[in-house]
Amino acid sequence: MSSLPVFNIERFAIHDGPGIRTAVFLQGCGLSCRWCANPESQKIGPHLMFLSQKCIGCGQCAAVCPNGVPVIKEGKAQFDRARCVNCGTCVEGCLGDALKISGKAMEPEEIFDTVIRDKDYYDSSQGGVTLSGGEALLHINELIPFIHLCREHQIPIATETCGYVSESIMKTALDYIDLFLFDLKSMNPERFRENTGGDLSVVLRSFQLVAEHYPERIIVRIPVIPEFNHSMEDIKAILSFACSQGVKRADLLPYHTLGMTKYRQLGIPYPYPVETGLKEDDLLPYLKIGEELGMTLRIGG
Amino acid sequence: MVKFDIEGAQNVEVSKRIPCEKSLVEQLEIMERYTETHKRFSKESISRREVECLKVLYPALFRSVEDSDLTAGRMDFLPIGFGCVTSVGGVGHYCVFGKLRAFQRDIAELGQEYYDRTEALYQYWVDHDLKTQYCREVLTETTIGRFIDVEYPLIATARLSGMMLDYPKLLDHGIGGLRTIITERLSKDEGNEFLMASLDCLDLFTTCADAVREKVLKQKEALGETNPKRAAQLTRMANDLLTIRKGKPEHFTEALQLFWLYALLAGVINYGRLDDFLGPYLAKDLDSGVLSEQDAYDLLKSLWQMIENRRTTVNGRIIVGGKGRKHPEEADRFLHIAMKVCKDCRFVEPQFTLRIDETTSEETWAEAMDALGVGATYPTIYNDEVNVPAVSFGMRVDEETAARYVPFGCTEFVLWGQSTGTPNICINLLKILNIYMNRGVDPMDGQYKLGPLKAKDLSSITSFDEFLEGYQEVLNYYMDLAGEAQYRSYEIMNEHVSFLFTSILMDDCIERGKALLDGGVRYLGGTCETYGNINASDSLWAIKHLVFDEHKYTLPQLEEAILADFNGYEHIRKDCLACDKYGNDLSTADDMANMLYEFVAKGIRDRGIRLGMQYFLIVISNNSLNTEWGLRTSASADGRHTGVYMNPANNPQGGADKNGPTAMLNSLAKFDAKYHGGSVQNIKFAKGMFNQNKPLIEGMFKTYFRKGGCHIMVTVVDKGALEDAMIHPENYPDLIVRVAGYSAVFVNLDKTVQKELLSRHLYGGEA
Repeated sequence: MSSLPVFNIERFAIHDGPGIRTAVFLQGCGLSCRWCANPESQKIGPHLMFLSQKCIGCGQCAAVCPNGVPVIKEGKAQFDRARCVNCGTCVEGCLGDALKISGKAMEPEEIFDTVIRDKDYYDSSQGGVTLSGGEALLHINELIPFIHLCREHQIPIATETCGYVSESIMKTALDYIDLFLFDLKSMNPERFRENTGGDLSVVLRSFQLVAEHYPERIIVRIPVIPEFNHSMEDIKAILSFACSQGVKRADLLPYHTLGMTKYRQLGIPYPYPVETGLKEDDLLPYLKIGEELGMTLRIGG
Repeated sequence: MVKFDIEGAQNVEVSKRIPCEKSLVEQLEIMERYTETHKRFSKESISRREVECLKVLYPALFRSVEDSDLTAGRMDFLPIGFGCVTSVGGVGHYCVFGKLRAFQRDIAELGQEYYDRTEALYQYWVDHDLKTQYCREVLTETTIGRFIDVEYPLIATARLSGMMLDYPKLLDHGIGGLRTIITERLSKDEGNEFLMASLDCLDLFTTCADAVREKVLKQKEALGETNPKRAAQLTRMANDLLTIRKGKPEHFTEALQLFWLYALLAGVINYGRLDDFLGPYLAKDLDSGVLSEQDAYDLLKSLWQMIENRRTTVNGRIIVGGKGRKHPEEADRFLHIAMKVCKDCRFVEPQFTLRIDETTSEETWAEAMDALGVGATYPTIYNDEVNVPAVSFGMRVDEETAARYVPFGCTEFVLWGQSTGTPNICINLLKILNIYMNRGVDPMDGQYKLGPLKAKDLSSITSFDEFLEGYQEVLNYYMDLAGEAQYRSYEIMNEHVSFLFTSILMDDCIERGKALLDGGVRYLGGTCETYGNINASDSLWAIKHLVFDEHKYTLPQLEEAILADFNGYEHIRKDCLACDKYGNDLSTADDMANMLYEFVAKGIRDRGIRLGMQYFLIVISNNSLNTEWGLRTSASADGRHTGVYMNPANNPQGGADKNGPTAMLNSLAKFDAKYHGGSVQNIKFAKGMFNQNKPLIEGMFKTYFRKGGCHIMVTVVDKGALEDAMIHPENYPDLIVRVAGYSAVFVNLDKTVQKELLSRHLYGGEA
């Protein structure tokens, strides 16, 4: 059986679909959104994450690293990322709990062993599992054994998707996914490419494919990002498109900057220029668009 | 004879006391009269002496009626007097020496004569204070300490905590009716000192009702014509007192007054199932228009205020809901009003307690969630579907009797009107483990604390089973001490006092013509508080994993690191911390915790039965002793440093649970409730998180209960608490916040994210 590149399993996820859920986060994504809150999800494989404030400068990492990556300067470790192979040896040595490796290959059964433990909570809350990422659907074929296990135990499957996958993947997904939390970020192809590196038409094709068969299985999710789509015009365009495809539910997610710590931990600069999150109240004016279109529109999700 | 500090603090006093209303000289005179009476009746029966002493205290110690009181009866207590528990005065004929010394310092300012008179009292009570007599006999140099001496692995005391009286009997018969019952019983057993003294107690009740009525009338007189509304209230209160001085209550306010005055005189500080007891009176008055909903609310709010003002710290239980109520419909009317009062008052006491079962209405659940959502911390919720069968097994009674269970104090169960359940022993499982691992010597003070047992040499141990057997042998020794010390506390109390007011309302004291601890109480039960349970089991798991499974270290190597508090052995500590920990829904650490739990719980229970008690059960309770005892408990194999708090209640060690609330609840639900007599499960949420997700969280609690969860104590905190949690993470090990799309334990998040959450909260965000 094929393993899956997991970077987190979050139990009691209550904002990733209905009810109490377990969110399984998989690595790999065709897009690279500048505001991405999970930078460790973008590339498959182990990533060394270093939290400087926890570093006690003990030098254990430098002592054990086979490649001489860490050096201690002014009481803190510094990492020459170019030479780091993410082997994790330094994590074993770290006394300050400042280092960890994110990203681990897991077998479907292993993931399922965790997921099944909250089965009673899913049942009582109409919850289930949410496949998230990254773009979880990139691994749809490898996910099938896991999904079968869930289905045997009547655990519904949702996915958070950006839709940036091939047509064949999306067709396969139709057979396995009970709910699509579908990210629509913009209807403007140029701006979409500039900020995510992707081709908007692929996303729209995926959306249409699902909507054509199961419009009721889609909840649109719009991350509202300042200086990108934080305008009446943008939000209206997205919602109008969704509505035209027969989709009636959408969530607005205010931009947040909680991912900034992760960029620091990975030793990469935060790529988006806005460093202040939005409040839920900032999104209230958009609710009337939902009313106009006859959609169920919520803030948060 | 063992030395101990008789002036040391006797219990944890969290709340500040309201000062005595009497002058220092008046207080001294009462204490002198009390002492003189105690001497004078020393040759008489203990029941006679007790009631004569009570007559000195009451009604003298009643305070004035406060402007807000809608039921009358407030009381002071002095450094010398009579009581059941340390929270209000002391135990039996007591002297609280530390407080008497403080009193002496104050009164000395009035002249040397007062100092000397106080000193004479002090010297008399050194030989007569009940608890001191117990301590002299039971405490040892190194194994059994006094409450609360955290140098010892086991502490013991004499007290009668948690009595919940048969108030329906009181309300159904009134004082006059009780008098008739006792008189009839006495006619078959002439000269029974206990019964005769009980009759005197009832007369004393009447005297007190009259005295309190005088205080009510005095307040009314002082009022003049200024406040007709208050004057009417006072008139009603005076009339109620006139009714219940001997008669049966007809109305709610009368029933409330009778219950309250009796509870004060009995010195009990937990009140029981007031919904079922008082509900019928309330419903009748609401239906007939004697009371409006608002009147009922005001009356309960005043009761809440008076209970709060007693400041009994971790007591004041009012219990509503659940199985076994005689008048469920009427009781629920009381319950709904009480829920509103609980939500509005947000006092530390009463500890408002909701028993739930499968039939608990959505309305009740919603009220409970609302009260919790505003940060009331109550109701604290007990699951009857689990607890009733568990109590039936644990206390060896049928399920109908088990449905009488009520939690008191920190969580201990007792059967109202039928059993004693006082926790007179506390035992520190982690300290015992550390002593065992260090060849019997407590690393904190270098004392050998295994009594007659021979210490084991760690280097000779070749398997985990052998290691565990050695620990269990030491636990067995301490459990023997626990059982004997608990049983002896009853014997010694029974040699000195009858607890008359309590005995009158406990089955089967009157019927048998015997005082509570003299063979009167139907079920002589007791409880033993255990501490450091999870630190000990996590330590056992770490030892098994690192030493015997992985062979990473030898036992002596591990012990060397622990004795050094991991200084210079940080890598070993890292490995200890990295071992699986209880509270993460992992069978490894959870099974170890359950094994230790069952070993100790069954061990204590079996010893109680062997000693002739109806039950002796462990309780895993919630107070600050885990922190205080942690200060004097050395570093442990779970990676905990010397002096650090131990795990609270039945929860994981702070910061050890990393898999979210469902995982923690799954771990909590694994213990079989039938072996314990109460176990507290805490969960904390940030306010926004809780209030925005109430239906899901309620659903989670219900699922947890269906999975076998016996209890949950929910704390919902605001931004100030989050800030405090950054400074004192040890106080918030289980505070759950929402982070972006997921939830996390706040203190496990890194500081940057914590700050971010706080800033979000500032502008009304999600934290």
